[in-house]
Formats: sequence, structure tokens, C-alpha cells
Amino acid sequence: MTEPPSVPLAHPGPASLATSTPEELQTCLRDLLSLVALPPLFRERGPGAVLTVMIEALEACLPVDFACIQVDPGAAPERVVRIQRGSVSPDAAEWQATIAACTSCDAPTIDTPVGTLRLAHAPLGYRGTRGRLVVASREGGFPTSTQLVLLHAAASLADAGLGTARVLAEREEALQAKDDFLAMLGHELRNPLAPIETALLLMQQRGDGTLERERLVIQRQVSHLGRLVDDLLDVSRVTRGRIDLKKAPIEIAQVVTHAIEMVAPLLDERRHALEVHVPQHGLTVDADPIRLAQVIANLLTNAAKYTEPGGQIMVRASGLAGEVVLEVRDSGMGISADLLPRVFDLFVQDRRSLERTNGGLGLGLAIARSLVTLHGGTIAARSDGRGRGSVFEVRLPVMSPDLAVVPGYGASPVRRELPRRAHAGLRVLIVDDNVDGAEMLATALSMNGCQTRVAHDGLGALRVFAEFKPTIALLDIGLPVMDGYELAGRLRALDAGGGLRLIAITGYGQDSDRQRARAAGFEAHLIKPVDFDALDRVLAGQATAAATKPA
Amino acid sequence: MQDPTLAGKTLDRYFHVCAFFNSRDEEYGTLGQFYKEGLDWGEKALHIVNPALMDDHRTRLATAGIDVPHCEHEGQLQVLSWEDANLTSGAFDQDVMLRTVDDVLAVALEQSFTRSRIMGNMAWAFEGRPGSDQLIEYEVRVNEVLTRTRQPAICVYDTAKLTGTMMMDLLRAHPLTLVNGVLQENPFFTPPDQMLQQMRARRSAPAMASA
Repeated sequence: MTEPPSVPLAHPGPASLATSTPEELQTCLRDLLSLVALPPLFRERGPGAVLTVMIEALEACLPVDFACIQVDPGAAPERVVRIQRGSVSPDAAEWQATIAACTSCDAPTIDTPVGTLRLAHAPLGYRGTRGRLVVASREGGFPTSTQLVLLHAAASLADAGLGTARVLAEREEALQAKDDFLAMLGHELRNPLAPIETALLLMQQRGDGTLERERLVIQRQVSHLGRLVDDLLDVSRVTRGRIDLKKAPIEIAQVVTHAIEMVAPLLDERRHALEVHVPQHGLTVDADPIRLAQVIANLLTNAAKYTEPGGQIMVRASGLAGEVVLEVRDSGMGISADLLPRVFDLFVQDRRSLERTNGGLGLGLAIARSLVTLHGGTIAARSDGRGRGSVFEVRLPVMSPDLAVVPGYGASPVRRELPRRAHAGLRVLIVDDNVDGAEMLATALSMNGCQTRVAHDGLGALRVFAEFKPTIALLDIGLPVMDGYELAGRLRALDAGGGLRLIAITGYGQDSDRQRARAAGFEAHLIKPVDFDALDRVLAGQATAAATKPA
Repeated sequence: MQDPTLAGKTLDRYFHVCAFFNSRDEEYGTLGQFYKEGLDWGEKALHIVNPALMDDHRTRLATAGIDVPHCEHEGQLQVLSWEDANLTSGAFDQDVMLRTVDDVLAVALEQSFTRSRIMGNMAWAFEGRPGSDQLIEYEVRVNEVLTRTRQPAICVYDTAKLTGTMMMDLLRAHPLTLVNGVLQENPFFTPPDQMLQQMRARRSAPAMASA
């Protein structure tokens, strides 16, 4: 059989395909369809991996002995080379001249360490501006017109796949940068909140009530700011599904009660009438009680904010077709038809509202939707339009009533009260570069019988330790120069088995931060502003140990 | 007898499916309904899985609404490890495996099961096990058994582990593919005899010597 007439290497036309046999065309079509089916299978891979997959795929269709795909996107060129179907390393010294030559060679053949091979190439991008795919084979007659079709198809798919992989990689980088920024922002915002909260509690304890109204105003605004900070920290993790739910069977009534407690100050401030129609028993869900309470609290907060003072809000729960259906209904300003489809998106707010004093960041409903979805449920909003109130409906799978329900749960509302128990005999070292925070915490603990010393950096803490010999150390993690983890290690070394207990008090609250603290030897990890109830329990553990220690 | 359904489509012409998944959640989210349907209809199910993940497999079946202990007790559901099915001698032997599939289907018929649904997790092929190189040829040859017996079988692959060559060969070897949760007839399915011929030609091509 004579060889088909030579064909232009870059652009085979219809006339050349006319020389192919029906079997060749059928095989070519089948292989082409296979190549086209590949992109969904490599969508999660990075740019280099996409190029490798395409070359490997070509090896399944063509008699390839050498392949090189070079992408030249300006600052970040990429090149993938496969020699003899991967049996020879692309770093093999004897092949470097071939590799260097192939990316610019327009001749029909190329010299290689295994002899002269027949060469074909296809451009990536318009007029090859994004690179080139080069394939060489020892087979006589290579490349046929059908083989060139496959080569060009592979080049096209590689180019498209590479573009997608790069966009996804850049998006992931941007998302990670945003997460890191939000975590840092949350940490920085939590730091000043801690001493403010402690000072307010001290004012309450000491005050004669003359500035009670002003104290309450500051308390509410600080609480509101604290919730905004929590939402900021939550939004990135929750909306990306990077949150571990601690699920257990629980009655929906308990969760609703908790949520109402969280929102009570706002409801009182706006003088709303709240009706609750939630059966105490019989509506059990498998849920993270803290996170589900957060969902309901977000819905109640929205209802409170977007209803004129003195309005009506109702919470109702019922069982229907294997689901718990929970409704939060308000008599407020309603949701316009154009806003309704987007109401659960991030940062969406009704910007026409004149009442913006408690505007928030537009995160609450997005967080609520993500959390409900993570629980395997659905959330929807309904409204008859502006001025006609809103209904938010959450549906969750109901659990069998035979399952034991956790009586109450560990998520009691954070109580903003000072430690109640006497802790006489405790020697507490507090280390925080936030001077006000450290001083306020020391004052609060002193009022309950602790002996306290304060330091504002690692070196200062080491000096105080040597002289004061504390039995417990409360350490901020984000200290200058020597961070809390390093300080913990050095204090432990100085203590030399003396039983020093280390507690982290920090604005960093992610699971990774808790794990790192545990690994560094901290026995507890408390998030600012400190829950004094939790701190109290930690100190009480210490007091018990001190009481039983032999004199 | 009703035709089985998978990912919302009916299996009535072809029965050998290559299923690609990016995660176990995606895998069980797509296949759970297929498993449950068969068991609810009184059919037999044979699942060949990673021995390290057998408990997790049973847990995920339960999440899909299957009464796993009952079905296993009744002999309706059989969960086997790779070692007990594909790698009985420590290596994969395609001839042994083809006979095993045939035997399993025959025994199920004798036990009066109207249909058997087979699922094989193929991750063992990427662990360097002896005989793994026979996988594609086995996939090609098992088409004959499944076409003759009209019993559905799903081969489950983790896309992250696949090379481009393997993707192409798997696509050519299966008349049905399940990608991104969508089941479709495969227009690039290569008839088994042609595929075997190509593979043997590929294997027998002489290696190139250095010039």
C-alpha cells in the first residue's frame, strides 16, 4: 500500500480525510469521542496533571514514542514530556537536546537518541500563542489525517483544561487568602472586646446603678459587635462546608429555647411580641444544638431587625411527612419579589430599608442556609411583598422518637457574669499584650480570691514566673516575639514538674488552633471574650487539687 | 420483571457500567438508590470492596436505608473483600475472576434470586498488586458474561487515581459510563474483539533501542 500523500502538518483539510478508510474514520471518531469525554474526569487536577492526562490519553490512540506539551503563558511556563510511554525519564541527559529542539521544530522529522522519528505538532490557543503539543513516532506514515485530527483535538482539550485548572487554582488561592484574612480580622477584633466585656461586668458588680442605662447600652452594642465578629469568622468556614457538626438527637423545643435566649435582648429592645408554638416533645432531630440554635437565632434576629418596633414574631414547629417543619414568621417589612431569590446569598440586604441601625453584614441568612444544608435539611423564604411580613421555613429530617434524646446539651448560653466561686489560694499569672485585657482579667480574678500577676510579653512572663511561682498561667497565644506556644514550653521547663497548669485565652478559635494548643500542653483553650463560667470551672479544678495537696 | 434503574435511567440494553467518582460521598450518594432498589425487589447484591473500608461500606448502605444485618443474614447481600473475590491467591487472575463472576450469577439463580447486582470497587488495581496489568483486558472480556446473563455490574473508579491512558481504555471497554452522576451509553465503546486486538498489538510492539 502506498503512503498517503503528504499532508500539511498544521491544518488537515477535508480532502485529506477522504483518503482514510471507513474503518480508520470509525476508529478516529470513536477515539475523538473518548478524548472529548475526558475533561469531566480530570476537573479536580492541577495544570500539570491535566497536561499529563492528555498526553497519556493520546498514547492510547496514537503510536506515540515521544510527546511534549509546552505551555507558555508568560510568567509561568509549564512543560510535560513523556518518552517511550513513560519508560524513560524526561530528565535523561541524552534526551535534553531533543526536548529543547521539539518545541520549535517545524520539520517532519526529529533526531532522537532512539533514531529519527516522524514529527507532528498542534498549537495551543489562537495561532499557538499559548503553547504547542508535539508528538513523534517511529511508525511509517505518521501522522495520517485521522491521527492529526486526534492530535488537534487533544491540543484543544488540553488548552481548555489548563485554563479551567488555572482558574480553579487561582480561585482556591483567593478563597484561602480570604479565609486567612477573616481569621486574622476576627482575632484582632476579639482582642479589644475582651477587656470591654470584663470592665462592664466589673462595673455591674461594683456599681450603685447610677450609670446602669449607659452600661446596658454598651453591653448590648458589645454583644452585637461580638456576634458580628463571630459571623465574620463563621461565614467562610460554614459556607464552604468546612465545619464539623457535633450532632446528637435533640428536641427542637430545646434548640428554639436556646435561640430565643440569644435574641431576647434584641426582641426586648424592639418591643416585639413573640409567640412560640413548639411542642416540648415529639419533634426530635439529629442536629448540632449550637449550630441549629444559631440558625434559628439568625432567623429571629432578621425578623426582629426588619419588623417595626412593637411588631409580632411567631415561631412554630410541627412534624410533617417525616420532617420537622420550623417556621419563623414576622409582621415586618417583607421581602420584595426581586430580592426573594437572592435573600440567602452572601452580603445581600435590602438597601432600601431606612432602618439600618442594626443592619449587620448580610451574613446571617447565608450562614443559616449553609448550616441547614449541612444538617441535610432545607430552608426557604416566603413573602407577599414589601410591607407584608415574611416567613422563613426550615425543614429537617425527623428522628425516631425511640432514640434517647440528650437531656439539655453542653451549649448553655454564654453567661456574662464574673466567676462566682472563691478561689483563695490560687496563684494566677496572666500574660496578654493587651494591657487593658490583662488588667481587667486580673481584677476580676482578684475579686474572687486569686492572687494574680500580669505580664505583657514572654520575657516579662518568665521573669514574673521565677519570682511569683504561679500554679496556673493564663496565656494569650498571639504575643509579640515569643508566642503563647513557645512561652508555654518555656514555662513548663522552668516549672520542672511542679504541676503548673496552662490555659490558653485567645482570639484564635478554629479547630486547628485548639489542636495546636492541646499539642503545646495547654489543658484548656478559651476564646475571647472569655466565658467566665468556663474559666470558673477550670479554676475550680485547680482549687480542688490545691485543697487535697499535702501541706 | 422490572428493569433496574441507575442514576434515574433504565438499564435495559447494556449492563456493564464504568462509574467514576471524585469522593466516597459522591459514590454512595449516586449508587445508594441502585443498591436499595435491588434489595427491595428481592434481588441479590454482591459488593466487592476494600477490606479496610468494609465497615464504612455497611454504614453507608444503612444510611441509604438498607437493613444490612437482615439482608446479609438472609444471604441477599454479600459483602466481600478484594482478597476474597478478586485477589484470592494474592494476585489478580482475569480467567479466575471471569469464572467467579459466572459462578456467582449461576448460584444466585439457583437460589431463586431473579437478578444479581454486582459492584466492584477497583482501587486495588492502583496498589501495585500482581496481575493489575490484566485489569483492562478483564473489563473487556467480562462484557460477554454480563451481556449473556443480562445482570448489571458496576465498576467503581476513583478518578484521582487514573492515568489518561487508563481513562481512555476504561471508556472504550464499557458500554455504559457514569460520570458526574450522569449515566449514558458510551458512543466510544469498542467491540471487545477489536479492543482485545488493539491491546495485544500494543503489548507486542517492540521496545525502541537507543540509536
